[in-house]
Amino acid sequence: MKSSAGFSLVESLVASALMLTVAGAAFAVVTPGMTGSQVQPEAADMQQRVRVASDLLQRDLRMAGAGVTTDPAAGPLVRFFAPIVPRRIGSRLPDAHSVVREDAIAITYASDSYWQTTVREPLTAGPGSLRVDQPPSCPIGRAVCGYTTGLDLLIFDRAGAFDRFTITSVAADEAGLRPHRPDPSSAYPAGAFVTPAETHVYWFDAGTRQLRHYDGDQTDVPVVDNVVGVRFEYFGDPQPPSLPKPPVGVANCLYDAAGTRLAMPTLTADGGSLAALPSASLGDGPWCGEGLNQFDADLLRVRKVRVSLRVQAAQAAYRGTGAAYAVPGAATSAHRALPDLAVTFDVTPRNLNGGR
Amino acid sequence: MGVMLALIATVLLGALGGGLVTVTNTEAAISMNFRDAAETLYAAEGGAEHVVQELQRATAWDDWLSGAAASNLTDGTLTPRLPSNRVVSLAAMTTELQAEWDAAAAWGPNNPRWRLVAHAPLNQVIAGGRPGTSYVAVWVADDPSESDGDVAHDSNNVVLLRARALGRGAASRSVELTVAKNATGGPGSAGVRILSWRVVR
Repeated sequence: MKSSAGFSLVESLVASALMLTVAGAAFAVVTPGMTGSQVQPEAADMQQRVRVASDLLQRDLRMAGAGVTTDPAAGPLVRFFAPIVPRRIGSRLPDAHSVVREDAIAITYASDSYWQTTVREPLTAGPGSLRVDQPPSCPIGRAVCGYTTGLDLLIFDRAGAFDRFTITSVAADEAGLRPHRPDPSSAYPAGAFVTPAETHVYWFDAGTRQLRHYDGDQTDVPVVDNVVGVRFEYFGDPQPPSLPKPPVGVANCLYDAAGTRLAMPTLTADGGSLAALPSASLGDGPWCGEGLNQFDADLLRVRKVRVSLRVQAAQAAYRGTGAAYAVPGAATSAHRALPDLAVTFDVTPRNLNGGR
Repeated sequence: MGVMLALIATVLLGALGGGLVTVTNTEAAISMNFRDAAETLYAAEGGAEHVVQELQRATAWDDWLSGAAASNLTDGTLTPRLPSNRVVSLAAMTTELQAEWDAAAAWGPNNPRWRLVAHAPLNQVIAGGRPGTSYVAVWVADDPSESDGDVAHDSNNVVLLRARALGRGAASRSVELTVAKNATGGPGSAGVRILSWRVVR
């Protein structure tokens, strides 16, 4: 027999209580899951940004100072000038030579080309024409050592001057050059060294919170977004540098015109075999090189670079407040807050340590 | 009603969990590739350093360029099985490297001729190295900045050295060194110096 009566009040209350309990339990489980699924991609993105930045920096720092392989200049560039400088150099917005930035680094190395040569006729300061010798390292039967329009060259001498140029034209045995600096480039004597080369400037743009890469000429692009800290520290040879040694009659930061070595202090090694090079010591001279490409002689000591990077979650909703956040965010729950990710790593440029 | 809610919650949680697992797996794979790439670069460096030390002790580099001498670092096969379980042909890799340089053919008869001188798993290169992490091969060639027209004769005490390491997965890294014999080299002296060190891209 079928009853026509509905549920009693007690039955309804019990059913409602059961339903609410089950629903509450379900939401209690689902909500953290949803939070996790939102936060996890952001955490992965932070990791990926750190990987990209550290990979690029390590690659270029390892190669820093790779030089020419043919005599008389065979060996790392540090025998002639500082291939690592703590500032922005190049055609656009270069820092003054006395500026030391902890958040910028310029790295120079010869490209993986064996087409290396020497200046045949003296090169005047500023834009000019380059004529080069044709040693065996140059390709057979090709003018101007096979260099073509658009190629970036490095020219340097024994006194410590160096410049990068872009080839603007090649005609017969002559190449037109455009220097990569706003002030006049140095003049170079016959016999100065020429090689294809690269410059990589990494600098922190605090305004856009980006780590940027500048090629020293026209191209300046962001590498990683949401960077809130970049710091470069330097460690070097405690012994004063003995190169570059200019020809007799020419003085530079290390030698007087008579060829006598100028006094530089021997530093105290910190822990290992290297000495910390504080920022103050890298911007107080003595100065090598010329114009905007001058550099502190202590930069010739650099053998190791310590890089510190800090990135933050892109969205403010995933950043909290406190010391773990360079830029406070709006996260109200610890489950939704991703602290800034900081890494520090050391790189020993291989070409600067060959003689150690 | 309760059953429906439980079902909906289960489906939601399943979807979220699946998504999280995918993200986590991807992240783990990226991290692993990153680590493998770093390890492989160091393995290539290790192989190069091993051969540099042997060149330091060698009396005649011409023997290395002509094939009369080679490294003690060899596993005896030109078709080794890599940590990724892939079998590669070192002869084909040599041909590939040579073709890369011949394509430029910039120096005519002085164009470097690459010779395979060392090949072995990493744990043979470095004592205590973990087995199954990387395989290393090293080639030597006469440098192009001389004009003797003989790729088996080193007339300026400078040779090129290419080391390639193959790691787990598809990881592969190469470094290229230009090595010079010191003019003052001899017993007790440094013997050789590395003129340049580059990662080959």
